[in-house]
Amino acid sequence: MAIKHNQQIQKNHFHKDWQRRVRVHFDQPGRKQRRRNARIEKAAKVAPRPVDRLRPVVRCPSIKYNRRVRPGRGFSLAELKAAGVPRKLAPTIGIAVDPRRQNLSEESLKANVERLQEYKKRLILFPRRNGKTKQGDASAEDVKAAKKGENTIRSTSEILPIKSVVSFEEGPIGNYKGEEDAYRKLREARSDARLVGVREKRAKAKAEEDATKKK
Amino acid sequence: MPTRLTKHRGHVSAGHGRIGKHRKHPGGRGMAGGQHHHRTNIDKYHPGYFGKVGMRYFHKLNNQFWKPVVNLDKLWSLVPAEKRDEYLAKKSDKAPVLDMLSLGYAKVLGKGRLPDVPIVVRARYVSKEAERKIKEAGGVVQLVA
Repeated sequence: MAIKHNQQIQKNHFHKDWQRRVRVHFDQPGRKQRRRNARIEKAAKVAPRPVDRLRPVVRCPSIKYNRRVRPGRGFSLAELKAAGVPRKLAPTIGIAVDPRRQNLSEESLKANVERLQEYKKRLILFPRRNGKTKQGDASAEDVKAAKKGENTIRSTSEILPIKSVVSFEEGPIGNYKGEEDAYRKLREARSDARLVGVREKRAKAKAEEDATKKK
Repeated sequence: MPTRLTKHRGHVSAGHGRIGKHRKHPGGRGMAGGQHHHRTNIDKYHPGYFGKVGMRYFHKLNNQFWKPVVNLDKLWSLVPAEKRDEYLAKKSDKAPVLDMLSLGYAKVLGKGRLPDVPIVVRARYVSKEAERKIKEAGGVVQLVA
């Protein structure tokens, strides 16, 4: 029909073809079972080692997420050096290494070095050859216990978790120094940021004017 | 043949007119001619149907506009419930510190009233009214990046 009278404009959704897009999850319970079995199988295969590698604590990027931390890909070389772990050895003892990562802040370096040291403390390193204990290897009793499956853990993320915690603190009000005029400070910061180019231009023009005057 | 048609035998255009004729879609199908020969109808009954509104913004990254707000009336509900009464009854000489960022808020706005109990508010942004009310209650505003 052509357009007539005061009626609602039709929106006929003809080309839906919904059956093309439908996904069903009938395999959900089976898949769950499969994943579970795979996890158990892997844990048994790698035992007495933990199933996952040690990951660094990393702060999320962007204004929106930088209030959170998450596990990163691997420890940076600087972190390994500070913690005294040889970089070639690290991946062989369950530490993830990411040679590309940089440490931009002291805090992140410190946190991850502490994490590495904590890990080293708990690490039970078997000697490569039986009975020949080298430096850094675990003592014979520890090895024996670990082989029996005592004191071992399934995953490193269980004992050294990475979580963004909402901590709550309190204290006498006098201990906290606030902004004198927070709102004004915010407004000024905003205006400063907006006027960067304008002020630069103005300063340049003035400098030029002075230079011409001197001549 | 139904009588409906038999009765019209001999009448050439069967009541649909000689000049206009009974054609299939004389005005076009659907929304055809919305900006041309049906323009009057569209403009009259569906103003604003055609066209766009606003300005284009290429490569808009919405993360940088992330600024969830919370009003003062909700502020005390963010203090852990078991501690709240203690502060409000002014039993302890300590003040709670609310780190708005870790609670998921960026800006504190000034709607609502605050009880006359000091509180430390740590946020990225505060409004003028919020700052005034917090300070009147004896509190402190801290700005964080």
